[in-house]
Amino acid sequence: MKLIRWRFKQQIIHVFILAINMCVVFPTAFAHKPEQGLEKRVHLAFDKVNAYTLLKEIEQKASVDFAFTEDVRLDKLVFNHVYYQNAKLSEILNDIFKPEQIIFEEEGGTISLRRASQGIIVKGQVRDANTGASIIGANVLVKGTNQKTTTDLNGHYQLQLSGSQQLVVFSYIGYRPYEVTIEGQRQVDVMLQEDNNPLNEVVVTALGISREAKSIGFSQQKVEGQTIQESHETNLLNTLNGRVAGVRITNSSGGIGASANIQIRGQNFVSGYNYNNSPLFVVDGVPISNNNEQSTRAYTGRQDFNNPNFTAGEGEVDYGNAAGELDPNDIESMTVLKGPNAAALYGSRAANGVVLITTKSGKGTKGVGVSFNSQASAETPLKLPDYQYVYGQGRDGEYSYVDGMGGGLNDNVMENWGPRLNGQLIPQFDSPIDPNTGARTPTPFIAYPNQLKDFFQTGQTFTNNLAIAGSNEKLNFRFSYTNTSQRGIVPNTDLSRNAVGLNTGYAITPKLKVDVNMNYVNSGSDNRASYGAKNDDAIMKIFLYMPRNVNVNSLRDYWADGSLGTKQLSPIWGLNSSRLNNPYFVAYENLNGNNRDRVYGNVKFTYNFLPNLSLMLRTGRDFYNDKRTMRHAVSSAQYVNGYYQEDDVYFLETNHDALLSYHTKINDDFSVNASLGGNLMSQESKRLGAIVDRLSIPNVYNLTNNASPIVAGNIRQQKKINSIYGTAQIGYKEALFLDLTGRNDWSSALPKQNRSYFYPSASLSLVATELFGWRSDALGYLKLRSSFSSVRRDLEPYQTSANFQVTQGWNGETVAVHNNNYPNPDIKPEKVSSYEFGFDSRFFNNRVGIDFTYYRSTTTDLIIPVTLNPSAGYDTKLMNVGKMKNSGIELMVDVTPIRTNQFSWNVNVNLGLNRNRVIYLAEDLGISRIRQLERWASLEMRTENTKGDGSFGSLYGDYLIYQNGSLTHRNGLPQEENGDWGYLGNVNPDYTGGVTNQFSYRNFDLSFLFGFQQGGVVHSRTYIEGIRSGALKESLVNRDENGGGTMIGEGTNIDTGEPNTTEVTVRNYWRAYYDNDRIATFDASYIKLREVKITYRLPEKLLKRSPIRQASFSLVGRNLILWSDVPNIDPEVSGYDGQFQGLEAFSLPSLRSFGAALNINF
Amino acid sequence: MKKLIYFSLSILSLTFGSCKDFEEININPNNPAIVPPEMLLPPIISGAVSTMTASGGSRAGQFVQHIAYLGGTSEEDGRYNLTGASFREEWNGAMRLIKDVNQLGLLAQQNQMPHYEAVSLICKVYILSIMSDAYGDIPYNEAGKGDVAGLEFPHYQAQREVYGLMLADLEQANQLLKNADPSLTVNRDILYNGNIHAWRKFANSLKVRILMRQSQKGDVSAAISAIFNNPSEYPIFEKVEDQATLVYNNNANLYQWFILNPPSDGSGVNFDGNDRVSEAMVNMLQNVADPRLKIYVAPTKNSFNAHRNNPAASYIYRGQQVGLSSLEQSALYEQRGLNKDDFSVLGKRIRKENRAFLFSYSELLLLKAEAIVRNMGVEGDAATVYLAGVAASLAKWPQVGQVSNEETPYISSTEATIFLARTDMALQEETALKQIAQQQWIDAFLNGYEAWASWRRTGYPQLKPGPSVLAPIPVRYVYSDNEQNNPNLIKWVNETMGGTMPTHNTKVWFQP
Repeated sequence: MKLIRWRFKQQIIHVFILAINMCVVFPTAFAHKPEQGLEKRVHLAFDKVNAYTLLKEIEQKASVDFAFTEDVRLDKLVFNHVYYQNAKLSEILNDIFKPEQIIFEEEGGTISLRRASQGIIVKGQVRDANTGASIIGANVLVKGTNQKTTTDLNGHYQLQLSGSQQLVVFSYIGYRPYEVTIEGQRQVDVMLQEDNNPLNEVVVTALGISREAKSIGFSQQKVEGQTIQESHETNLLNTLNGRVAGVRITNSSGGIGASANIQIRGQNFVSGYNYNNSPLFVVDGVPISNNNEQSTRAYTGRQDFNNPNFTAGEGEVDYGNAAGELDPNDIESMTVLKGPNAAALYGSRAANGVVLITTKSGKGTKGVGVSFNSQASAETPLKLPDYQYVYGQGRDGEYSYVDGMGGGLNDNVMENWGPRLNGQLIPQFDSPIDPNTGARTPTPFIAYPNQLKDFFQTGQTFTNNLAIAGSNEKLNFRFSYTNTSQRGIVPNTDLSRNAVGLNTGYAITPKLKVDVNMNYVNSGSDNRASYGAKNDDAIMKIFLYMPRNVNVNSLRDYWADGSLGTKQLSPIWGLNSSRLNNPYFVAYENLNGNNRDRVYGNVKFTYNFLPNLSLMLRTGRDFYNDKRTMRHAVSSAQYVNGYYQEDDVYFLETNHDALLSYHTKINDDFSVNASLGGNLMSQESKRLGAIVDRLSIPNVYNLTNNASPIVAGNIRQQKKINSIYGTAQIGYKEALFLDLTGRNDWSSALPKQNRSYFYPSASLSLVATELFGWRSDALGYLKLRSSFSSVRRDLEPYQTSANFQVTQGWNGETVAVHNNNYPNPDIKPEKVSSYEFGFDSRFFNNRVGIDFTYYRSTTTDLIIPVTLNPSAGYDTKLMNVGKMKNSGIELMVDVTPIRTNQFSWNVNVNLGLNRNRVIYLAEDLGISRIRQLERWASLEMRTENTKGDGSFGSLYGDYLIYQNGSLTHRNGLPQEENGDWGYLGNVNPDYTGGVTNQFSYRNFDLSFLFGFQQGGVVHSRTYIEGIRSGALKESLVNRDENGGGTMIGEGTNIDTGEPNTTEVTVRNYWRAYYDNDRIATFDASYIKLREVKITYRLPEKLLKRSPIRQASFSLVGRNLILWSDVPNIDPEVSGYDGQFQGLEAFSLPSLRSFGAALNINF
Repeated sequence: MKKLIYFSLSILSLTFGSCKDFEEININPNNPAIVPPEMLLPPIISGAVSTMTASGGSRAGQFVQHIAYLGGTSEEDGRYNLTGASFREEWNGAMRLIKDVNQLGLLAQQNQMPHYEAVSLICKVYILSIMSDAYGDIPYNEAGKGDVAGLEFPHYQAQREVYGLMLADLEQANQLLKNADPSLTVNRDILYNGNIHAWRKFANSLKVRILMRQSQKGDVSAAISAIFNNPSEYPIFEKVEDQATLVYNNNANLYQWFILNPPSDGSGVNFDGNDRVSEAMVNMLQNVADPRLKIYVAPTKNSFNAHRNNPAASYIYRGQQVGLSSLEQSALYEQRGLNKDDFSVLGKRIRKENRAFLFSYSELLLLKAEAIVRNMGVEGDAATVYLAGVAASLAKWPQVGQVSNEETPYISSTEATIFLARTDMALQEETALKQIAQQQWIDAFLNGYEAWASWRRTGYPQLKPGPSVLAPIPVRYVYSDNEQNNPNLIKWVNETMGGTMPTHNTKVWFQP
């Protein structure tokens, strides 16, 4: 007896220790692994017995030991009618003790008993059913009570239950809730299934916070990483083209590494940041640059697009936009926040919207996974100019070749108004030269219809990506390496890119987590193609002037005979007159190389003080350094003595963030999420450039090889913005959400008195289907949303005080001029106020989804470098003038007409429409128009009371004068008005959109993406120059048999009003007729088959025995077909590096590509 | 909660703490806020001179038939198909200089440097006098003051008023320099090498030009005679060396239009391009065996090459007829058996040794001769002063080396004496004004503005327009199309010109 008591005591101590240390109480006999002792069978027979006696009886019969806590009070427990025949001990104990709320458990041969009234503690882990990744922050709730908890950083939870049998609900946004009845289990692990119900959709919003989509009160749209990756685009921005409503992407050209320009909801601003209407790009919460830092030959500084006349020199090589070089393979998803609402949290730069990029983190990868992705594609021009092949070089049908320098008849004119190409034998520039006489042996004068095709090569793009990812409870990581190598359609142009990315997260303690994301991109080119309307190296320009009778193949050996390295071989090359560059000479000698190193990433610490209170500290950087060289060999058309330039571009942006987040539930109905944060942003950029515009020794490209003084210069810029921001979300019944944000910035770029500015936003989201119980079979989901925001924006540094520009001048000595662009010491931040309404709805079991938004934004206090009149002495003066409005709608419709187990068909349509109105500028000062850019035609904003449609993006230019419907002439030539320019149209489309059709059948996916634009105009310089130089088909009209001839233009004499009777040469007539801007301005509407993709996924059965988890193979075609009425060019193009919307100026044709991709996951 | 407060406080303190250096951050490291005044001078002077010399080859110099284009090569210029865009750079470039002139004046006043202030006044008058002569009414008081709030769009003033203001400014410059310490020099002075007395002479000579310019519109005798008869109060040019000449260093950045792209064929003459010396000029010089011919004009390319091959072949000087269409030009070639290389371009020395004559001593003497002829109370003998004026013109290209050669021709004193002794060179009473004006026209070669203004005022030499010009010879520059947006210009035109923007055939005020 004593012995037993002693054992009892020991066990009591042991149980207490366990309870205290582990906070664990053992489950009842229903525990899934019965111990041996409880399996024993005994006979028992008592009419009445107390518990103490009963247990002693069992100890003896079954050779087991009992231990119990004092509160069990065995002596007080009396049982009647205890009869068991060979019954299991566990059953007996359960029968007897369960009604008494006493639970028992066997451990080490001892069966311990204790009262269940203390409650039991359940613990376990919550994970994603598909990926196995632990879910952080999942809610665990005991139904009908207020007992609840959330999972920690590893997905673990612990919950105390008052009774032994409880219904517990596990839930997490984006997942289907899971209910389980707990009957004494101590360990309950749960796998949650992802839920496609829109009610539970999760999106990443500002500052990287995941939110339920239903709670977002403004428009945003997500593009999945897979779509991005499978697009095979080397410029990331192009992957968004046609996929996101209201987002407009324009490419500058088909040159490799060319820029793409992005605009969301039209233009809100006139000037400012160097890519002024680009949205902010944010990678994992940290802004990165989308600057477009170009170099010009005239001046090594940053290209000044605020200067309407390109006086700082136009860029001639496109170095791409900075966000274009992000690796699509590393992207988990891109979310476009369209309105300026996001700005309230991200700061002014987000006033044009935000493109949020979430990179793959390796989370959810079971163990270690390896994926390999390989893509290859071939590119060819989509559309080439329609040349004429009837007449050759010359003028008025007259031509004879002697030296290409004017020695013959018209042999130095860059025109194709020459004789008919009848195969007549005449001496030509590539005719064989008789070694004895030195005379040229006549060769047939014929057309070479494939000049451009012969010159272009097939472009190639290869991308290989290897990623290794893994995760466990504490650590997740993903390492990725991508190599992209490209060759352009212009021979000897290339681009290569190596990107390394590492993304890791580690839970140092359950409360403290660190995430590190680092990316290194090295990109470079040995030679990028040139562009520019005034650039004699621009390939398309060369071919507009190329004599139609020249066999391009005879230009391949591009040095002239006996002049290796000193003079190019060209059909037209005068010492002091016109020169046509040999395109091969340009491609192989005039090289524009660059090498760019970029590092971006961030380090983030998250500390959870409490499950609902956390602090995030993050520091992020984006840094790049681009070394560029430009070479021109001697005898180049523009630089006869050669040329060399070096540029060094440096950019650094640092962001330090701190964010304190708190969420709580006030009662069953109300919840609050609140964050308070601060940001320190610092930006620094440097440019260093040097030019030698005459070389001493040919083909030696070094700054010390200068035959003229080196022109060198540098620019440094620095700016800081400090901010405090806060956000609060109040939720009601999980169906009504009110979001309030506020941010105050202090910008170093503004004058002291205007430095601090505040901007708020508010948005409301109402899930009507939930709140009002509108849900029905037809209507599955309806969310109404509205939001308002007001954002203020600063400007670039050094614009607030007058300064002198110091340059090298007379005699090479330093001189100064007062800066032609006058700053303003009183400048205020500009302001854009916007509101939007919209709804998101799903019908028929998610088979139909409609998302609609209407928005309107008003910009006031626009910061504009107002073009002054020359007599004011200054080109521009910075002012706050004007008011501008943008309004529009965005519509996304998603329909799944067919969905069976084996086959599905999904149609997705998106449409964006934007209207801009310039309400006023500063008429009191006499400003009713602001010129944006001018190169021939002029891009302007004018108010409604002036000529044009009163909106941003209006194009103006000269035009032919018609009187009473008849064309006017003077001296037989059509007359143009070029004093007061006419309105040519607006470069902004009426609407743009895309339609995606996606079919899935078993393991095959097939999708088509059509992109379209309706309205808007495009001005084509190719058209004008091509006709005036006699190269395009349009120039054939009225030429006679010999290529000459005269004509009398139909119309009237402008002076007399009588019919025109003056006869002029055909050439002169058409050259005059086509010498105006209006004639080459076309309706830019188009439809493009932008993408066709076929994917085959290997069936899992096949892969079962291999180490491969997933494998797919796809074929992708991009830009396959273009329907458009614009002659000669793809209307979807913009001049220069993308800044001159609506103007085409001899840029390389856009590309059609065919590719294949292989994707394997191990 | 405590933590929250600490956190908020630390963010606040961080934010405000780091705002302190904001002013420093926003100091432009690239461009200084202030510079020594002399640094502004070279661009002002060279800019003003570029404006002037640019007129020599195009527009003015071509209207006044110093230069002619090969037929049809430039319809707009050669045949007067002109709009505001045609005169864009002429206006824009010059007006932009005024802001720097204003800055120079401000810096001079702030630093109490009266000599720089005087130079700024002289430069302002020189530049704006050219603008007013060419364009008529201009903003004078408010020009180049876009930095001042409210003056972003300058108000226009009538030419008559502008002339008065210019005379007043020159008088102020005269007084400033008179009272200035004579030991003061102007640094970085590429025109007069810092000599403030030379600037004073330039100021007063400019006064003479401006007064004579408006002499058809009012009696300027008193003002003119006051200058010529009182050299101590109004020092003016006394010798060729005093004249306002900018000698370029053939610095790569400073090539003028006529020496761009120096040829590499060894000829020393760039025979390309479309600029030719006009028939009027070549004939005028050839008719009296004027020795300036060999300086002004190069032999034709064909005769130059012929001479190269055979030194016995003589040089041919031939001017280009103005205002031909391309068809007429072709007809001319055919009819006379010529080609484009049979017309003379600019002389070799001009091309090699770029000199710009802003205001020549010859011009001052010719103006003086005119004043005497017109009985303005100026002392002196008109015929003597006239010949001295021509002599001063012959001396503009100084002697280089021992003999005048093909590379660097100059007019020797013997040649000059022979020429001046010609009986047909002597001033005749009945043709005096015509002779003076013709000499002025010859002397002002490559100073298109001056020759054109003189021609518009005097009517000499009598110029014949080309056969198929689209308008009479222009007498005015059209306001730059950029300027035509100026609301105050539109207002001015509405108020004073009946709402019609002046054209290139609208006379300016000073014209009779």
